[in-house]
Amino acid sequence: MRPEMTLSPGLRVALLAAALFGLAALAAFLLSPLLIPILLAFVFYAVLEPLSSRLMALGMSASAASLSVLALLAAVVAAVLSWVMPQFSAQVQALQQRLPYLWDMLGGFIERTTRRLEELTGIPVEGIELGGQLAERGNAWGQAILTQAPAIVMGTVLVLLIAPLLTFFLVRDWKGLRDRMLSLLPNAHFELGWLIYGRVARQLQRYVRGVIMQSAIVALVATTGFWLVGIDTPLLFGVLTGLLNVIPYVGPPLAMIPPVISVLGNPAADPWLALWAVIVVLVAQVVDNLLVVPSLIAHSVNLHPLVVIVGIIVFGHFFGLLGMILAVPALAAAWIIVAGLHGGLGKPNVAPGL
Amino acid sequence: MSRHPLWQNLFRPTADRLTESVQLWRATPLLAGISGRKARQLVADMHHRHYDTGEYIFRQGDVGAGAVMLRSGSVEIRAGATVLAELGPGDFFGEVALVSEESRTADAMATTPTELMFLMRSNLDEWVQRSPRAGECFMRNLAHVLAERLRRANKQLSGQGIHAP
Repeated sequence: MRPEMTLSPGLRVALLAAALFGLAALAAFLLSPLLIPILLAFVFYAVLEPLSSRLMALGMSASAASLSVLALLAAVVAAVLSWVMPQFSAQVQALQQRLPYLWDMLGGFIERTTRRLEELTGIPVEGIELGGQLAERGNAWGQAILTQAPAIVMGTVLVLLIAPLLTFFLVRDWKGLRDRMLSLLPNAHFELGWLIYGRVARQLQRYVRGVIMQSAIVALVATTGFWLVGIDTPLLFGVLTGLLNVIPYVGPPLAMIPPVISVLGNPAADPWLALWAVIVVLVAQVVDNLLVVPSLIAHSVNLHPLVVIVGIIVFGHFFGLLGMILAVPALAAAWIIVAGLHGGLGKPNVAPGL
Repeated sequence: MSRHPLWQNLFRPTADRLTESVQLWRATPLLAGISGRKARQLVADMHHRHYDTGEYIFRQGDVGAGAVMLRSGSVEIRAGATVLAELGPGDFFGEVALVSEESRTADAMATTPTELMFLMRSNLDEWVQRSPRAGECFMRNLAHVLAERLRRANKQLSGQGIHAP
């Protein structure tokens, strides 16, 4: 009789984790056109699920409860958009008008600097026309982005149509689907599968809810700050600061760039306002780190900062901005899965002699 | 409204089996004082699994994810070579895992072909979230069950001349 081949527990964990992450990567690749609406639907699900569960407990059918919470979400989103969008579009238009001046100013600055450099060193600096070219290109580039805004808006509208549909099916059917998938596990790993699922679900749900609250608070603080110091488009930059705050370490410095550019691009604005814009983002960060993170986020993920930074860079390289946003929850979930498999695999499941 | 069988959840217990399972659970102290409707909602989310003779349900040291009830067959609870308990249909065990992620303190092994119902902590949490009052009642019942198990363990230890702290 041929002896049965056995794998060491460590190798089993490594192989299983590699298979799981390979499947997840394949799924992300195949679903890439729908990745944003799917992720948005999961975020909505994390927020809406407690309410739909309560409605179902009151005797409402799963479909009716899902529709009700979705209708509520649509009403809230519509109310917020009807209030915010006119201001938002006015602020984008104001920024669009300032862009030519900004690029001209940047080009002029580079030209002046290169001339000064030539005078000081006596060495001719090539690309004296660089400033002018940059101004032209930058201007065209900025205008192109802003003129593509309608297409971007259409894409967003499509996402906003698909995401609620997916949210409806998630709220209605996710638990049944999850139960079916976990029921496919063999007896030996059935409890372990549920254990890991429970840990990942709890952590991701805490993280998503915490991050939504965190972004809203940072956006509110930043908007108020920008308004107090006298920056023209406080809501636009405040919301942007809140959204970029989702990306750890990298997001806050990125959030400083748009208001600084806007101030420097406004001929009528005091250049010192740029410094104030940076201070506002820093104050929002202080509030975030001292008050919001300890109470909302600290316990939801427990990753080393170096792991987070490397993860953001790698995920950002492969999946862009979306990857940077997803890096932390994806790494946290991967860590729980590997730790759970490591702790739970490796014992025989049949009594010796039976 | 009749639904085509193709679209039904094939893994959900059928109505008769569900009623039978609800009756088994309602006979335990865990569901004492909980309405039939709420009990049915909880039991509908449980998971039915079949184990062969000699197959472990869990091992000592495994982190538990839920409690287990026997629908049919028999299970031995063992610590090493010592058999601590022999369980039959209607008995439940592993309920400590409904409270916290503790390691199992003994092995549980099927001694005949056995059908089990698992009540997972995740499912219980969801049910408690949906039905806070029934959830409170369940948790109180669970505390009574755990206290009773502790009292019996203390009595057993005292009988052996060992006194619990």
